[in-house]
Amino acid sequence: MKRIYVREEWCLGCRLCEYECAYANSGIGNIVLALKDKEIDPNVKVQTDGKITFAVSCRHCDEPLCISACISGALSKDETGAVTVDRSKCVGCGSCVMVCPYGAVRITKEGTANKCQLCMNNTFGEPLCVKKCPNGAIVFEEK
Amino acid sequence: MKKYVLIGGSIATEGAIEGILSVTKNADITVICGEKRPLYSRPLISYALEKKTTDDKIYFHGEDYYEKKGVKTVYAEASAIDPVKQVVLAEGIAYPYDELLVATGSKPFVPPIKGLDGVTKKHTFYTMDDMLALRADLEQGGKVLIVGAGLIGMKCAEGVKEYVDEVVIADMAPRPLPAATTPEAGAIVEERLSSIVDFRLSAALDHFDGNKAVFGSGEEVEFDVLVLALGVRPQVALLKEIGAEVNRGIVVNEKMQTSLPHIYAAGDVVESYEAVGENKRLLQLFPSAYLGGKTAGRNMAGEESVFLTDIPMNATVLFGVRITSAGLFVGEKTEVTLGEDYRALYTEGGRINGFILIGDSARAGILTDFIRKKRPIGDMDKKELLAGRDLSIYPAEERKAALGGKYEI
Ligand SMILES: Cc1cc2nc3c(=O)[nH]c(=O)nc-3n(C[C@H](O)[C@H](O)[C@H](O)COP(=O)(O)OP(=O)(O)OC[C@H]3O[C@@H](n4cnc5c(N)ncnc54)[C@H](O)[C@@H]3O)c2cc1C
Ligand code: SF4
Ligand code: SF4
Repeated sequence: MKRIYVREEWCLGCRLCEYECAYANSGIGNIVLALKDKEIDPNVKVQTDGKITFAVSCRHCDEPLCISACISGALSKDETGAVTVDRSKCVGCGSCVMVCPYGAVRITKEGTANKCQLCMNNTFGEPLCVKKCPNGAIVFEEK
Repeated sequence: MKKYVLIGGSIATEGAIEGILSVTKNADITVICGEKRPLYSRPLISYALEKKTTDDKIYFHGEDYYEKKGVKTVYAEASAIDPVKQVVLAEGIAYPYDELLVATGSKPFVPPIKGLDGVTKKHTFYTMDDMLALRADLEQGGKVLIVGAGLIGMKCAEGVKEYVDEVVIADMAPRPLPAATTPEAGAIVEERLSSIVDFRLSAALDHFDGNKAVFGSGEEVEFDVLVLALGVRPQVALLKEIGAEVNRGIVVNEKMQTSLPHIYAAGDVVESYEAVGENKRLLQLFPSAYLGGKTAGRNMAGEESVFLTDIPMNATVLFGVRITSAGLFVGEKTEVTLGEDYRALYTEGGRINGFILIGDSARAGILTDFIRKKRPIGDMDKKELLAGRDLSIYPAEERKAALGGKYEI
């Protein structure tokens, strides 16, 4: 399947991906209206080990632990291999957060789980973070 | 076509179906299930009681899950296994198998208690039918006594509160959630919830006198509806009768094979390998059931697979208080308090044994991964591991390979 891969050595830590993600998933057609004066809670997070920065989002694992722990059926793998979340089914128990080894799923302030769905659930249809990264530090590829 | 028979019909059974079908689509699978319902998620019954989810949503993969997977169903109790003829008997019919899974799970434990027969409205809380029966009584109102402050009793209380104001929860243990908390964390949970439910802790139930419970101390609690949540017991009888190795649960190896040929077991019914304590024990948890079932299914279908990373773990929210824990609470303790949040990490020999988090649990899975895989923590600051954690704590090369797609953590 096509996945987002990180090329750490190219990441400048500018966090543009975080803003593009928040915009892509806002449901608002204008980036300024979508983000202005808002605290963002994106599905991709730039992290650092003090030396290097890297953008972390769901890996769409072959054996997703999040799904094996999900008590509500909110998490599932679709036919393309993407791990999706149906927030209307989620009961917010946090079992997925307890097991995801990448820390890539979270409970939002609405009390339900959210994570990267490769922009297949919004109008962009391909990861906007990848598209807008000026440095090629994240790519969307079949490997 | 190879014939697979799965006795159960819950989470471990689902895992086995997924495991078998991940190896071969050419499988003749029959589920024999004593509960006359398609696959549903047991933990959701409290959410359905609480109306946080609807009754139809308990069928968490759709009411037609078995049909979608091409699995045949027999809604009946299996009464015996004949390991020589390789058949399972249910209601007088023999179902032949090439590979058999016993995923009979558990049943609520109800000890003999003097006067219990005289209690008019009494319940256990394990199945959807239990929930529906309890709900029918709760709709009449009144005062509720729940005996047992473990996860099931506490989740039940949360649902019960939707219907009645007065809920008493009694337990012999000195704190709520005795298995999933430490004394410190349990005390916090007790304090936060004590304005919502009426706890009677360190209280040993002695007997019932009509609709009144009498405790060892002489204390009495009157109630209209009683829920007994005194723990669950694995349903081992089918295998015990035919001489399989059974301790407290069915003994299985890392492939989820029992001591008898062509018979596997998974879920609440097994004593499986627990990776932190490195011994065999009953875990009786949802992820253990699913992953153990999946491992069994793969092996049944001929693909070698082992399950060596099973550990205790639990995540839940009780009346708005989020409690997340994994591993064992043994070793050196490091605690931090951040505002309303309490966090504790247990370490030993440069590794994490366990953690418990009250409040925010962001990225807790990274700590869980360190426990499951026995990753060394080196000289990492334990308070920082508790304060916040992200992928920067993995060794740089490993992280780079994982994010770059060369490897899955
Ligand atoms: C209210 C509640 C909340 C829970 N919350 C959590 C949670 O948050 N996290 C967590 O990890 N765990 C939780 N659990 C525990 C979790 O649900 C169990 O660990 C899990 O369901 C075990 O699955 P299983 O497949 O082993 O068996 P079970 O779910 O016990 O099901 C066994 C099935 O086998 C059938 N069966 C038994 N004997 C026979 C027979 N002879 N013939 C035919 N069929 C038979 C039974 O009818 C039953 O349907 C909760 C449990 C309850 C009750
Ligand atoms: S949320 Fe975590 S466990 Fe689930 S698929 Fe994504 S990276 Fe894997
Ligand atoms: S928080 Fe939601 S998505 Fe995560 S395990 Fe619980 S029900 Fe599933």
